[in-house]
Amino acid sequence: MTQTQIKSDSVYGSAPLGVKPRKSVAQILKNNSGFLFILPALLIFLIFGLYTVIYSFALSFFRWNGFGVFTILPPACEAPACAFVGLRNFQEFLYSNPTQSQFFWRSFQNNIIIAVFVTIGTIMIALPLAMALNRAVRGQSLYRTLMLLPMVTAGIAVYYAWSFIYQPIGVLNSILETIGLGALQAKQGWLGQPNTALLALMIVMIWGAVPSAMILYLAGLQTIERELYEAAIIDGASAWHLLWRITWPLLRPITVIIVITSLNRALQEYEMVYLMTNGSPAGHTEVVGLQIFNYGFGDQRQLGMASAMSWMLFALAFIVALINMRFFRSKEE
Amino acid sequence: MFNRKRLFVLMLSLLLLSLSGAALAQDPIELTMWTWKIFHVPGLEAIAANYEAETGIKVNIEAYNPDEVYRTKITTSAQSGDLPDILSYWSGGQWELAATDMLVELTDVVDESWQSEFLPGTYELQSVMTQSTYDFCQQDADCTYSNIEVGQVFSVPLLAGQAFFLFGNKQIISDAGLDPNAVPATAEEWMDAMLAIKEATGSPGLVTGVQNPAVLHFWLFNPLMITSCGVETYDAIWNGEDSFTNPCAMKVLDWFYAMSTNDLWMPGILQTNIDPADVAFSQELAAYDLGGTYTLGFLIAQGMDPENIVSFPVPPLAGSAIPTLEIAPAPLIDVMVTKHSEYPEEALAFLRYLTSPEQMALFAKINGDLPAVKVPSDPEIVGSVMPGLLNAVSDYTPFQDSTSQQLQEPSSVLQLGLQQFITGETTPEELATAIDEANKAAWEQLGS
Repeated sequence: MTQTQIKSDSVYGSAPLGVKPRKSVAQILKNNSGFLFILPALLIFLIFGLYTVIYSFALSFFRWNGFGVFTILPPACEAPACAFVGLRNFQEFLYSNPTQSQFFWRSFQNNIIIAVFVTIGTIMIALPLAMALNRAVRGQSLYRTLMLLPMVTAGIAVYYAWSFIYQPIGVLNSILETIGLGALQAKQGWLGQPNTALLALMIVMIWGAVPSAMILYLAGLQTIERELYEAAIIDGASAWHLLWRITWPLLRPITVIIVITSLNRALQEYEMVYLMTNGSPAGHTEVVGLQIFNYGFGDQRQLGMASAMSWMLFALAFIVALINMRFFRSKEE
Repeated sequence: MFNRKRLFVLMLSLLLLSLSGAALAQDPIELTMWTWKIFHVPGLEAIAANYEAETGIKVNIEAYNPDEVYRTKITTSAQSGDLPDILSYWSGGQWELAATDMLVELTDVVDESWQSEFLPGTYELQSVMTQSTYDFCQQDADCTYSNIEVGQVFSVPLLAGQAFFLFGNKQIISDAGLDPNAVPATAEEWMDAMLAIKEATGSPGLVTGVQNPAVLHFWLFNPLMITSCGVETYDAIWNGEDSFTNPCAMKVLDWFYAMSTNDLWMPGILQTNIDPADVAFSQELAAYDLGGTYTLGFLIAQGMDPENIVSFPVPPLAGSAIPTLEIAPAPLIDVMVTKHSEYPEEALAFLRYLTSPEQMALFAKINGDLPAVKVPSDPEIVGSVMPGLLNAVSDYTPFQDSTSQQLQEPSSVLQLGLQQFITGETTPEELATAIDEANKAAWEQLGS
């Protein structure tokens, strides 16, 4: 008999071999207190998270306008407002309906452009800013506060402010005129011309994404030991070598997080596009999120189609995230 | 002791009396009405106040805006069973609600006397299930109101209106040396006027809510197209039996294209939505504004002097099959009683009161918006804006004879293409072919 068994028998009393001692309710609760602590969160997730996810997945195989009956518990779909259509929703926007599929793929292309350029732009700006802030300089806290302003400003106010900046008679065109670069002005406004609209939106997205990326990089920089740099400097490493051989590799886990969140945000983007351009000019800023919104809540009222598009977008985002993780893992190896 | 016993009996009696009184007394009836037009709330509240003064029944007016929020609010409330007593909804959209048994049927309730009060072309075309709407629904496997029968009624029209109106800034027009009161007879004359204005004053020609893709399609393309082609050809083109390359349709596309090549749109037009377009016009940023019956009230509310505005219907192209566009008001908003109402009879009585000519005249005066009910044209009764609107509309429009079904796919291609004229990304020939292809595919998918 081990020491533990002796101790346990002395507390609970001895029991016949092969028969487990009966535990009191209090003891069961005590032993499972960890589960009890996570139970509220688990219930909230099951009701508001998992159920809605399953609901939207089921809905993607139906045509439903939001009225009448469509439930999954118990399963019910009442005609004529609701009908089972199988994979038709997916087929229509992916390939079988030429007009719908053309609009979908064009929107998806815009999402990919946004995802790539916003992610690269965010990293390219956030990392140097974080490195600058990491150095002990006077007024560092003031700079940090200023840099974080985009994070704490209400989205809708930001979008309207940028819309005014981009107008034909807005701040940007006025500045270009003033400094003698009038030829570079966007006469139809920066959001009104096909060659500038998406770029103008991406600049706002980068502006909004940089602060959170910068905080992550700053936190990462503060974990890198100074001795590494000092040793490298003694060995004659240049500033570029310090960045490329020490800082960048050690910040890779943070870069992975930034890339995944940035890609995810870019693929799901709709709010800013809805408020700033609503897909104009001539569909040049149309994104899948905006199409989902219009199908679900616009006058078309095709909630099944909106759900199907959402799931397709999720699948694509998931694949992109997997590729991204595989890419960074192989780099680490 | 005796006194204490009497006091106890007295208190017990009082308690019983108060309890029975509370049980007998009924709560006053309160109704709720929803709208998505915040702009309409003052007019509706004035009518509700009159109704309360007459009947003692209070009607609460609640507004939810914008459109998407209102639709979502109705969808979720329909699921949870707490729709208001009275609902306002887009005319023609009520069938989806009726099909799921959410609305009180009014088929035998709207009698001839009530029907006679509505403007022609409103109640009988949109509030009653017509044979043509029924036939189209039965033909479409995805129609969500196929259980509604011809002749059934679930709503009555509240507001009417029509787009196809142009508003000109008289000052800018006269600054260009043109007669501000002369109305262009053709679309070509109108374009010449815009060119002359731009040449003389630098003012851009036209502003409207181009950012909303439906605006150019429904407000400008369709009226030019139906007049250019005539109703029969217009229907044949949209219904897939003719082509958008038909010369009468090509003339319209060419005219649109020329608007862009002549640079007559206000700068930033693709960023401009409906209300900002009207605001821009009121700030003299363009010579003309394309809108509807609802625009004039908004312009005046923005501070424009009505004397400085000339208004006229969209002029047809030269040589059009229909030389003058007549504009009849179409129903825009219908009102209905929901089955979730605890007081459906009272709600129906309010509906009757709300759509009476007297109350709608009051609404018109407060809001400057055109009711779907015949109201007098006396400025004392309906305000200064309404008489002009009433004179500008007639009982007939060629759209009443049209049976065209403008399917979603060709409409999307057209709407995008009209914007692409402005960005210089397509030509009339390319667009006509693209719409034809989308139209053909859509009708094939529909099985006809």
